[in-house]
Amino acid sequence: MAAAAILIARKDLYLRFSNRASLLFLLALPLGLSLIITLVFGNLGEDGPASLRDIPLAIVNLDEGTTQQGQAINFGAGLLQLFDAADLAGGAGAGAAACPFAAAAESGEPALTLNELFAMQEVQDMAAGRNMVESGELAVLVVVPADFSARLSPQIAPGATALYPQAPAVIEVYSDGGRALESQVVSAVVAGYSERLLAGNIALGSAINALIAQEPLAALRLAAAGEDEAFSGALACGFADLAGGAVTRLQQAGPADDSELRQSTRLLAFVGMAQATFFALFAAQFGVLGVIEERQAGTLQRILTTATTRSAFLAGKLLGTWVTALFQLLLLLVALSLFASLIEGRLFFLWSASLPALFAILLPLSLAVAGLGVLLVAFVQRTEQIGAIGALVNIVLAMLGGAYGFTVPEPWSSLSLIHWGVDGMARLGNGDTDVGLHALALTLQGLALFGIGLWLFRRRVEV
Amino acid sequence: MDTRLAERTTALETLLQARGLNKQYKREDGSPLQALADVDLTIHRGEIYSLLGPNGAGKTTLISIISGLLAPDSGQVVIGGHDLQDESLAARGLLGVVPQELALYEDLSARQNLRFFGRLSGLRGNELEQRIDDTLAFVDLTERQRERASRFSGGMKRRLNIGIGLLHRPQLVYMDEPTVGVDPQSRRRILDSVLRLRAGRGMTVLYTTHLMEEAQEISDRVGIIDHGRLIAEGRVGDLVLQAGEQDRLEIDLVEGSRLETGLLQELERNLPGAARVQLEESDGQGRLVVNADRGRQILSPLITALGAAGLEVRSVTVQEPNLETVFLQLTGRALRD
Repeated sequence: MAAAAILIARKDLYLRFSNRASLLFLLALPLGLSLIITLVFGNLGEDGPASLRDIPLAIVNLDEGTTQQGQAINFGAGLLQLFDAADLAGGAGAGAAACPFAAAAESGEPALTLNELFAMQEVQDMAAGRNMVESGELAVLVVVPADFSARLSPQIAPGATALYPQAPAVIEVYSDGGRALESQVVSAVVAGYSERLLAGNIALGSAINALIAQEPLAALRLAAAGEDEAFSGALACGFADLAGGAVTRLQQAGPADDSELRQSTRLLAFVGMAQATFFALFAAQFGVLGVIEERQAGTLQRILTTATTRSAFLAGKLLGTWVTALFQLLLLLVALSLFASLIEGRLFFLWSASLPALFAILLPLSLAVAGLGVLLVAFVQRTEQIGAIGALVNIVLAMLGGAYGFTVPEPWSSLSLIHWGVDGMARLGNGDTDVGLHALALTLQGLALFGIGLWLFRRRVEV
Repeated sequence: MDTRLAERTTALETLLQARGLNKQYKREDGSPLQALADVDLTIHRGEIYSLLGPNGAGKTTLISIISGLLAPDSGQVVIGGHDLQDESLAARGLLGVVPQELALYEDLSARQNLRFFGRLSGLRGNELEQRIDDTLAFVDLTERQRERASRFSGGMKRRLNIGIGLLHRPQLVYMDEPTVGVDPQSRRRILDSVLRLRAGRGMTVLYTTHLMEEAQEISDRVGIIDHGRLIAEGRVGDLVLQAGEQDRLEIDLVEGSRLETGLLQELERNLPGAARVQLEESDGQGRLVVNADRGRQILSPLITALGAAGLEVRSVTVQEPNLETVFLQLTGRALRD
């Protein structure tokens, strides 16, 4: 059986790669798609590093603040200061010299300050702010709730034996759906700020707990230090690195070790890797087409009158489709990498240069789509049915895989090879080579699809 | 053993035996269609057996079952002692198929096509290459073996199609209308090839055709299938006798000859074996038509009697019954209907 399968696969590959029209199609499809992706996401005419600047942002600070040990605290006001981060970077006071922003400015390194990133304004009326977003005047509106400070503050009471921060209140980030990127940037900064406050309070709380245990008065002296200007400066500077961190986190949406990549290249890498999975589904239709053409030409019947089983025939088709899909995927990724390298002006691999990880995901992904092709053979009788039935199957897989903007809960989403393919490829694009589970899932899916397809082919397909 | 006896014994050795084959399909409206009904078929080693039947008679279903492409609802097929169900690969290894459609790869050369199907049949190495050379010579394509099949004429493609089916030297070759759509010269070549398969290679051929003269020329035996049943089987001459058809003599008289009614009755009475004598008009000419069991035997007394009556004969035609008339009588349809 194996010899017959290899023979059939070799014949298919020879015919595909020796026929000019077929070869042109094999080459043109991935090259064309890579060009389209590059044109759409690569922003080829762009000069210099991509950056988001002057994001129109408004903050409604409803925070009523809180008082601790006689000290007035308003973390909402702190958030306002954070988005106007030039003050933090260049701020006077004891903490200024230790500030990362200030240090970066002194060293001459290009650093993006938050007031360059955001064109921030404070509005008093939430409804007015929302209207500004809806009219397009603002990209994002941030609403700080009234109990923001109260919830984040440690609870210290005389005679207390322990101190716990409360759960953070929810900050609402309101944005226009068409400006998702700006919204994500703002959300990242806000979330980071909240987490840092919470973390700081936990750390502070732990220290205070220890002090309370040893010397209750020491805790009160520590809390009183909040009034000190130097302490406030250090606290503010502590948030300055948070601002940088938030931006850095956004930059890391692209390959981890390429933080200086153009934003368009990062987007190209992400989209390209994810699109590769959808592209691979074309290969499944290639496989189906091959079987139907053989049936219509009578060569399938002729093959089956030799000492060749249906299993061997389908295994040969699977093998041929597998290799074809792998070839096309590799061609697509190489072409995209070349385009990305052109944009970057240096050699750049979409898959973070990890070839073993790349093949660990490409081989099973190609197998899975080839297996899907074998399954489709059982349902498609004529060439003109491929488009409709293939599209239907692809839509179902895409829905399960979460490609339509909503997430299908587990375990249903795990049934889709798109789920595993897109996630695995996107991981590679992000520099994450931990794709073992994805490889295993895709391999199992490929084998299962082939098995079901073969069973159906033997049962219901008359030649 | 006596050579003739040995030849006869070999000729009668059963190569394919089908028993009680039944196959039912569902029509689009859900009603059942009995494609085959208790079909028994025996093909002897070394013979050319032609299977005839109008469209929709069950011919394709029967062939598909024999080729192993379709499973019967019931019944059994044994090829060379191997049950097609239980020993499928061994049985199919004895079978060579030449489908009516050109089942070959147009983008491969003649040699590449043969090599591919030869390997699928288990041939390897020098043996394969030698068989390819032999086959190319047999179908007269040696000179064009390196060319893609897409560049071949219709007749050349047909010959390559035949060659693929013969490459592994099967014991039984099934040929489905191999002369459809080819020019007379290629058709003659193909028919000669079929005859050479039996004479030179001792192959057994199961042949289907729409052309009665082909079947009559090359067949040792003929089977006629209609409505899913094998309604007649045997040598062409035997089938004609079974059908009970008579010879038909057509005598055209010279212009102005007048035949009296009394003469017709006299001829009908006196000519041995004459069943009917009548006068027909053909293009305004008088034509005497006589139906008789042995037409040629009464030809001489008939012409003598006409001469004695003062009638001059312009031409004489003797039509003997053939497969076409047998088929028409058995099925009520012409083969091409």
